[in-house]
Amino acid sequence: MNLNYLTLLWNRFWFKKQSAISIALFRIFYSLVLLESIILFQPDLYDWFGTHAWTTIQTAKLWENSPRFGLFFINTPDNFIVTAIYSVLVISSITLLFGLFTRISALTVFICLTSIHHRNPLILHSGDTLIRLCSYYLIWSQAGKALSLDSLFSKDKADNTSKEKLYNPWAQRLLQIQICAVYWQSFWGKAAGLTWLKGTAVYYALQLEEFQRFPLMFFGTNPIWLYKFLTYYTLFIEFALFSLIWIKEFRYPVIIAGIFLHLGLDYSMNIPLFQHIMIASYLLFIDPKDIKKLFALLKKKPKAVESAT
Amino acid sequence: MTHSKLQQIQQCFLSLFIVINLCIIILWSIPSCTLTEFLFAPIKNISQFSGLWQNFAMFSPNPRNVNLNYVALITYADGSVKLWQFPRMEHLNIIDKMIKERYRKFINDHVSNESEKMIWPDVARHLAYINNSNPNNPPKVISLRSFISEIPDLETNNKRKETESYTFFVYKVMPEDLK
Repeated sequence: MNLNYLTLLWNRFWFKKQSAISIALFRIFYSLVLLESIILFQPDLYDWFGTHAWTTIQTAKLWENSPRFGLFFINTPDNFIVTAIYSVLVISSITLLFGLFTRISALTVFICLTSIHHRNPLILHSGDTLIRLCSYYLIWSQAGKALSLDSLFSKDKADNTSKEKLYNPWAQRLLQIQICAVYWQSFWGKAAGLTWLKGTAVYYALQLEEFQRFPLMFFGTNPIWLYKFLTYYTLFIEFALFSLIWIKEFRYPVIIAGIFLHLGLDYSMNIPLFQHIMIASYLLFIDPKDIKKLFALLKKKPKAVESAT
Repeated sequence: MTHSKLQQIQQCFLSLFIVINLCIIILWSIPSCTLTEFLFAPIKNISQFSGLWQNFAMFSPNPRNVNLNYVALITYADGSVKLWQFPRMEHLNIIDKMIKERYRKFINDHVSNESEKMIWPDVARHLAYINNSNPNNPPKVISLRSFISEIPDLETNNKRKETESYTFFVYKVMPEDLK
């Protein structure tokens, strides 16, 4: 191995051009989760961020003792500014969903979300953090180059060439690494815990009344073997989702196992947004060719039904 | 300048930008030590300021082994006391559970934390403000009270203690808190 070979590997990973369909599909599902998050903020908007919020601006500034950017910090706080920032966030989320002015929309979403999150960081959970980070990477990505109004009206389209245009995937790669970092942090955080190693962590998590969502019929008798299985399954899948996911042959099985993990968590535990954004993020790992195959299959199906009738 | 030369220069700048972003992700993903804190100090400040900070340690290192419940006691000028219950997730329907989940985060993860007691006066002030419906009988004292109930051990099914309850913060309401 020499420096030239390493450079070649680097360039191939970050700059080998590919279709924008995966990142575009992620943009759509990401925007839906973002809208879900925005809707959930609405009923208590002024209680969290308004003039008489649960925490003052001074406390928010002092929290973690580091300067933080935020539109709320520029002027004296009042409910009008809260409404204005919230409205801009709603509009930019919708334009991002449809891929209209995609980069500007992603930038606006990032600025508004950062401002809201820094105004009251005490109410954020992992889903919020990941939604904010994804908007940052979407600014640099080619998410507007497919399945979007931008691509519909773009010059590339007007070129009238039947061949699909390919793009640098470096921002998508950063997003993939960010998703893996979520599982990395989560896995190694848990690896330091005795209950995770003993196999009892899922038992304690499911006994926390504040998280309970739907009833778990199999858990009535507290089957130790099931708690152990679920605890080690969680650890193994989290490990696989930052390691084995990079190996082509393992990728789809690992993604399917990850979907089961998050659907199970979504059913049993009240942790809004996080499960949804994690499942959406798996789209970033799907080969564009496979997405196109799926689209082709979906297009063919109605025709097959028509011809049958 | 040829097209490929231009592309190479572009890739160099992009690579630099990628490395900076990778450093930010790595900084927040590795355990903190003196060396990493020294190396990453400038990047850490930038990422905290710009919103690129992150922490995904869910149920880590262990899930909590106690159930928590918080109430506020609001004492009015006439001596009457009102019990104010923070939203309890287990008593809400599925929609309200999703909407009010941030209360769970705020109360059970932060207000409950002694190391974050700087937020307690803010919480008390907000409670005084939202519970000031009668100008002739304003709130005078806000007390924050916690109830802690231990989850039984899985293997022995033993609960070591009964539910504990104690007042952890008392705040005297100022007239300016109610404006």
